[in-house]
Amino acid sequence: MIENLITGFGVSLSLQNLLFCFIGVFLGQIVGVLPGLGPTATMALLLTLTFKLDLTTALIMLSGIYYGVQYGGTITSVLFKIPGEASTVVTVLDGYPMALQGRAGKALGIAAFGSFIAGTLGTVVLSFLAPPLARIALMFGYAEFASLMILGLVLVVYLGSGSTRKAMLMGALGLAIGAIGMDPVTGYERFNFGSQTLVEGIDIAIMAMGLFGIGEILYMAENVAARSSRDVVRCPSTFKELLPNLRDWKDSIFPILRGIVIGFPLGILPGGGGVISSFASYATEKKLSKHPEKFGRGAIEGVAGPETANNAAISGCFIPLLTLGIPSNCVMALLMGAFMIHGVIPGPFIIKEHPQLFWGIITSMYIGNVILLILNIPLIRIFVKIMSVPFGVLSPLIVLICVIGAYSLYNNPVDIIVMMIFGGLGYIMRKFDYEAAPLMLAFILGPLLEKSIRQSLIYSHGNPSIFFTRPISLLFIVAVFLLIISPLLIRMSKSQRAALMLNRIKAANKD
Amino acid sequence: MFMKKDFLSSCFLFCLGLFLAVQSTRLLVWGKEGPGPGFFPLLVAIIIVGISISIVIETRSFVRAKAPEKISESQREEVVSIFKVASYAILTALYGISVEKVGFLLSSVIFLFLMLKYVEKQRWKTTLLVTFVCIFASYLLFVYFLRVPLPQGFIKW
Repeated sequence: MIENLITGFGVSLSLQNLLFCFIGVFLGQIVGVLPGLGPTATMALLLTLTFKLDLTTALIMLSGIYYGVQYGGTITSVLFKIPGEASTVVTVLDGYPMALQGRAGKALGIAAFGSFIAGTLGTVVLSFLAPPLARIALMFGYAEFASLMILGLVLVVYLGSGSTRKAMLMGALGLAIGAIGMDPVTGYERFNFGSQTLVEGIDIAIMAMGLFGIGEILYMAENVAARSSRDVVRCPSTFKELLPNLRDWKDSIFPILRGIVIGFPLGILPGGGGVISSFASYATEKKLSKHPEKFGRGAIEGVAGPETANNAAISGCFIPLLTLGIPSNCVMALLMGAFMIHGVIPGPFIIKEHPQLFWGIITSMYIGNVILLILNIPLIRIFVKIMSVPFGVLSPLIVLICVIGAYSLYNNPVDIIVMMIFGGLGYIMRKFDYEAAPLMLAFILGPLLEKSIRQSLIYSHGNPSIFFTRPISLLFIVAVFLLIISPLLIRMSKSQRAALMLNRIKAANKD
Repeated sequence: MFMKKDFLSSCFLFCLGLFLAVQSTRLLVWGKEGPGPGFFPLLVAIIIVGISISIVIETRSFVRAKAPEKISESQREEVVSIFKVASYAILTALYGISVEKVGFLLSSVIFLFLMLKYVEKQRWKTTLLVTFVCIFASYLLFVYFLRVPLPQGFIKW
């Protein structure tokens, strides 16, 4: 294990990788601070540039963007009461009140330190967990992969924030879009309607730039209220202001440790990640606190726990991708795209065949968190200035970058048209309250899922019992079934409890 | 209003599901060795049709609600903001279509100028400064440093 980590640090501490880690983290923070471009669209734009980079360097940069964005979102949550990312919504509840009390530095500092501790411990857990998981994954056949992917898609649908049926529709639509192009088993062309561009299918970067870049810009162009800025509280100007004191550490250390325990496993779950883990951590801290009335009024625990949890979830997110080759969210789906651009299939063989890549990525996450901690002192004021740029000036620039990004992929102007179609789709989806995450995840998993299902059925001569007779596959199918019927069970249990209560009241009245 | 949106979108997805099902059946659904290229898309189409029917049935009763006679202030604001979205969409589409023929530099200058001045109503100074600084920065970054082969069009470099 130590040798692997030394190998990893040897890769991630090279000058080139350090530079690109810095670029990724810095860009990520800017993106986290700015409205209109999230980590998915930014990574999609930069995917085109990874053609020119070594795969390890490219993945280090892209990963840096991911956790850099989370911290950028924290800055806006604390200083502006505007959550930069969905996972930092909870930070507003106590972070902004802390800023109003002149404790913005403490809020940002504890968030940075909590994230650093989560990143460090997350790296250690990843290092221990990933190799045995990869060994287990080697026992998986097509049936196990198919049922695991189905479980992943069902989890994304059920863990989403909106309507379950609408999320299912988007998942199914994603699977349908993923079927455009060549059949993954026979190579037969389908649904391309004679277009040579569509023979290769839709590119994930194009789709992401359209859905999350152009679509978001169109939505923000209409939604004026979402663009309004708030008064800035006093921004911390010295390193000392960011340092939590002994009392702050005493209040925060257990929320930080609990945040890691909550965030890491939730990050592994498809559809899990920063949002759910930050909310779960906040709810836990409020419940366990001796003074729950402090929450919502500047309780440092309300910042420390959720910020740690969402960073721990990021470490957890990498596990399914690096060990099983299954992305757990849109960002991981894009990283998978980066792997594929360079001809590497992520999965259980990656530790054996590309150990420097694997350990390089893991150790770079630790380095990225160190860079974040150091970067924040001089750069917070710059990020605050960037935030004051009006959206009306930023949005055409974002469109410009998206168009350049789409064209530069394959020098094909049709890609720009496809991106704009997805931009329109992204806008309509926002208007009609459909989530993009299930669509994106299903799109990337669709060809893999189809190949797994069909190969399993070919192997079993068309007999679907293969999914139920193999023990690991059966376990996943049972989990899917329980997940689907869980709302029904909860409703039945509630009505049973209500009926029981009514009978007790009636009995009491008779007496 | 919520339910009406769901009804409309589900009707559209129902039609899309039917289209997908028809196209899938034109491919081989099940061959001698097992499922063919049409199997999985047909399965997906059935899921789309099934779920969209359930939403259509649930929301159809809300569709018959009478529309208000007078246009309210919020509906006027909605028309204005949809106009803005349409401007964004049309200018972006024209930019995307023209970038290869006209060239990256010229089309980007025109696009940024029109968006900043006439859609976002920025001042002349801001429009000109942002347009030229951003085009110059984009050229430096993409063409000079990253050597991305962007279309030259009328202005060769």
